[in-house]
Amino acid sequence: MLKQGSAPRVKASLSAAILLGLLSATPGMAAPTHGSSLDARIDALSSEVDRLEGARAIRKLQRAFGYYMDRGLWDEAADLFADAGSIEIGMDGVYVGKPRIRDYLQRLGGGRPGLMWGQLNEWLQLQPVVNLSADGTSAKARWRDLTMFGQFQKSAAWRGGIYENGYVNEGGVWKIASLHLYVNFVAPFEQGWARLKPADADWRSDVAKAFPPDRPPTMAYRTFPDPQLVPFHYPNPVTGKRFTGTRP
Amino acid sequence: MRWGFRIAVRIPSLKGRGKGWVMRRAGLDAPSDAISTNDRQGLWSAQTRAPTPAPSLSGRGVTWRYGLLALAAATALPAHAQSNADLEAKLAQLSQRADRLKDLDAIENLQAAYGYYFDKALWGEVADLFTTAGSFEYGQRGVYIGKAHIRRALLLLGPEGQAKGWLNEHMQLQPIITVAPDGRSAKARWRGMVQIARPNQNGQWGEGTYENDYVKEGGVWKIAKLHFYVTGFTDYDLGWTKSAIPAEGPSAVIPPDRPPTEIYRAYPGVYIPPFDYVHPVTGKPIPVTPPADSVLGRK
Repeated sequence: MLKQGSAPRVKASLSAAILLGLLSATPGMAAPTHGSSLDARIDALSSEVDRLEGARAIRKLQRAFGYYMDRGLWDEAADLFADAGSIEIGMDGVYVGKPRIRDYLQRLGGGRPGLMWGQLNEWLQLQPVVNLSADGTSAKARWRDLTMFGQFQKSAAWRGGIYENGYVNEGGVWKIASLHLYVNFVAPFEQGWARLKPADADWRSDVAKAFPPDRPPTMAYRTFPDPQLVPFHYPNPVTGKRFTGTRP
Repeated sequence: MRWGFRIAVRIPSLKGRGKGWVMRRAGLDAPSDAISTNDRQGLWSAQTRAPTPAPSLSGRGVTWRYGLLALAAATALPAHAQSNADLEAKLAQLSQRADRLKDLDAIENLQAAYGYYFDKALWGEVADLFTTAGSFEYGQRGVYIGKAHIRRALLLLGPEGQAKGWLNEHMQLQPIITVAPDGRSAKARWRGMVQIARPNQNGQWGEGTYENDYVKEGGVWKIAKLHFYVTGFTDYDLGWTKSAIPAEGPSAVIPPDRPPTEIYRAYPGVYIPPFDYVHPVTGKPIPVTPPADSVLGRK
């Protein structure tokens, strides 16, 4: 297990403290019986703190992604991913690896580093449900997407969606392993979501058509007004049961 | 020579002391580099790292350290027993504080999960997040008590499950969570933005404030009370300069178990949902006087 904190050092120092206290006074005395139990408790606490830190680091990581996207900092956004990381938005398919992720994001954002004058590109990252794996080296999180797209005096739109993302801790650093944004709607500001027509059979972005992905979409679905249910990575937090879609 | 360790835990700065950080020394004083160097994304980011206090003879850690050495030099057994008891107590305290942080994360996950189920009208999943005696109150619709009543009340907000043309987005944002010191209950205030669509109707924006209670039963956090105070709803096309949709009252078809706990009118009315937490800087309760309302007869 990868440690994020200073657990080994803590453990070593504490053992040293106990041993020194003992040895300096009465050489030859029997070893303390409580030492190992204290060590075990410190290890357990240290591992809990690692997980708490991890859950916070993952929130920070995903929020950082949003702030980079807002301003067209595609390199920075792509650098949040693991080397084997992937991104998937809507029906565009899966782009794998930092260079491909970077190029895809830049094309989505207008084809150049940064934003152009009059461009609005606000990717809000909201409402996280974060769960670490049992060994604390990977995690999953669900997030809500609310995005404002716009070009001054030309267009304005809202997007709503759900992220189901994977994260991995590599060498003590949390990275995005897979980002999957399930797009629920992209609605023009003027007409709003209530007048949206059903999506075309092929509702890939123009970017995906001109710059094909490495893999096809992992799941087929349609946007609002069609119903859409993004799978939950976690069971119901109270009952512990997975939602299967069939309930009495 | 200095040796030892330091454990620091971040807790929300509800008391407003320091800068959202509380450092506690566990055991012996330590060189400043004993703080995790593995800090690229963890708690120890440069901008939030608390300043390392200079070692000082007035510090508890220092006193304790010399105390330990003196005792160890004098008689080994009492010193050893003393050090273990002291360490045990400190460890127990730290462990308790880590538990409170875990509680915060669990409650954050719980309320966010509520929102995701609510969006998709998975009313059974929503109702299951409540305690057996849990209560649900949405705007001026009154209070529904118990999972069965809550699940039925939710049908007032739309049919169960997914249906074409229904949008029911209830965002769960901006939490202020306060866990009781014993870790068995908690309260939280949240912001709810709402996006509504119904087949062949105009869209709506909504906004409101949650003031919720939670309890931990058998190690699992559950919603004991959910109260969504509706700030206002507005027609999407007209916007809030022109449209203010009144809050729905109690249903005659699925009547509530209790009337609304507080009577107020939504926007353009200006009601202040009471705050469950004390002022984070002054530490004093935040007094709220409901605004005068001639229609409701409130002076």
